[in-house]
Amino acid sequence: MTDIMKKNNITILGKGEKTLLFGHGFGCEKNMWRYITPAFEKDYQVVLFDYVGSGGSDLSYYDSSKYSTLDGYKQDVLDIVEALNLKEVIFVGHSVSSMIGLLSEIEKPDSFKKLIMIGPSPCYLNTKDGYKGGFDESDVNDLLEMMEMNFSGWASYMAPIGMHQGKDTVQTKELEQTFNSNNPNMAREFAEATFFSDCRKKLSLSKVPTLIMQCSEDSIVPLEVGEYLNEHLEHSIMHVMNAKGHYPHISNPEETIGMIKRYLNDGI
Amino acid sequence: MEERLENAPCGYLVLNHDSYVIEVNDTFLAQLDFTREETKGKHIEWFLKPVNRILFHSYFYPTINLEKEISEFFIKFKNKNGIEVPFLMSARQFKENDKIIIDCILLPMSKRLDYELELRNTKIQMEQAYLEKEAALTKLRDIYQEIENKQQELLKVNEKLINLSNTDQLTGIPNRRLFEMKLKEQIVRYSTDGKIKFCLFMIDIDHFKKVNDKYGHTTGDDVLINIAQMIQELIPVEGMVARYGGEEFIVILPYLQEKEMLKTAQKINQSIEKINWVKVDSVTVSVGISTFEKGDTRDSIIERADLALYKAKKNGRNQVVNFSNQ
Repeated sequence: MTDIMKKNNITILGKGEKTLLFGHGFGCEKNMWRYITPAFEKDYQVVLFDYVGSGGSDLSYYDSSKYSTLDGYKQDVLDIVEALNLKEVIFVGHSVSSMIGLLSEIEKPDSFKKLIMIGPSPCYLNTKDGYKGGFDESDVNDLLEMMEMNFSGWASYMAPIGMHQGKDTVQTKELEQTFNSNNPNMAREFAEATFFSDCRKKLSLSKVPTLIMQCSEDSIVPLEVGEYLNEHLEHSIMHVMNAKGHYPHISNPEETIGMIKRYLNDGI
Repeated sequence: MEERLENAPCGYLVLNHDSYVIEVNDTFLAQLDFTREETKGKHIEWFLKPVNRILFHSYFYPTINLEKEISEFFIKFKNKNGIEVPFLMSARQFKENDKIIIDCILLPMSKRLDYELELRNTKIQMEQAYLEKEAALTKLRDIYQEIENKQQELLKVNEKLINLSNTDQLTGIPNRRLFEMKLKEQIVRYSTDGKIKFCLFMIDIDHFKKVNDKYGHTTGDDVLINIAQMIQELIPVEGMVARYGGEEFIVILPYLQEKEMLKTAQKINQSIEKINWVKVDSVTVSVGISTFEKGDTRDSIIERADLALYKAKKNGRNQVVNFSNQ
């Protein structure tokens, strides 16, 4: 148990009986939720964590083959649910975490009660069957390159170090980093897992009530994608937020809190 | 805006909390070929192609809001012709009259980018070279291991071959070849030292032909095996018994006092006689003994043992004869 606390940098707040488990998105960490969680601590047990490879997680657990697809991140969620013995979890996922939450719920439906998805997308790519996820593969490759250029540490991450992850030096560098993902290799793999994922075929397997929170003018997830998701999830409702962009929990925390509370209390 | 800020050596861009452009300086406009009118009221996304929008939303936006500051962010802005211009962007968030504003400065980094790309390519090449080196090393190690394994196998096969070539297949005791080597060795030792004497027992099974004729060759072989084992058990460990010919065995022993030597030979003779055979009635052996003396050769000592054996046979078999007593 102490092990998983360190592995996923888990924080447990609040003292309610019901559990809200918050999953951060790509390029982020649990810190992203700081404007949201205080509003729930009174009534809920709030569990925050970092996926392995992100934020303050223990990088020695990072395994490229595991975390190169969303299944690896799903396993993080399931491990946390099991280790903390969480029941009837309400999972709040931002961006790619929405799908990670969905995959977790499909695997262990009894442990999850509701899903709340903020800016979700079941597939980010435009595909041959006419689905418009918003991005072409070449866009994603450009993004990966831009990301790489944006990690100040990239030049010093030679392959040998990259292959033996979890060195102390990686940890100590964390503070110097401008961005949250402190290891370019891991950030890149999370980006690949995110932007090349396709969960569309899984949607029909979800069994729990789901709230889709779609930002207006979200430049990462087009409105049509939110509508597609709402159509294909059997138990979902969708709200389009006043918030623009892709981070309503940062740009419009009050609207975000209000929408989540209304859904939890009244189911609307 | 002050003139010096308008013409500062970096682009200057002010955003509101929703990322709309509030102000720009002349340098920024010149960097991207825009007029002030064109940029007025535009959202930051207006300057960005999709990839850079993701980057802006995934990194710049959360960081500036949570950390209030961001430095050396690499991002590309579209110029008037739609061509992307790379910039390093640093920004700081302020509160002015309860409103959030974000000051950004932009430094073009076309040249720097070339250096970085060069460096990055070199790094990729180095990584590749490193991986290739590792792979080659692993392969080398595998090959080395394989050679090592083969060598071990060879050693085992060799050992087996040596044993085979020195062993009498039927009885499992040393064969004549090994005896000859041992004899030669003893003669050399004697000639260098002069003191290390040794003796030979030439042992022949009495009427062995009859055993074969009466009971068949399988039983005859059985007799040979049992007698070979019996002799091996009865001689001191320093000694050696070998199969010398068909039903003939030879023992080479370090020098014993004559009494001891005779005792050993008689023990062999008597023990064999006392064996309770299942199929055969009784088997006896005759033993001829010779001791290596000064001036002896390989042939002479064998010859004397043979003569002693001949004598034992002639005297009625089932007995021990020491040549020196003749």
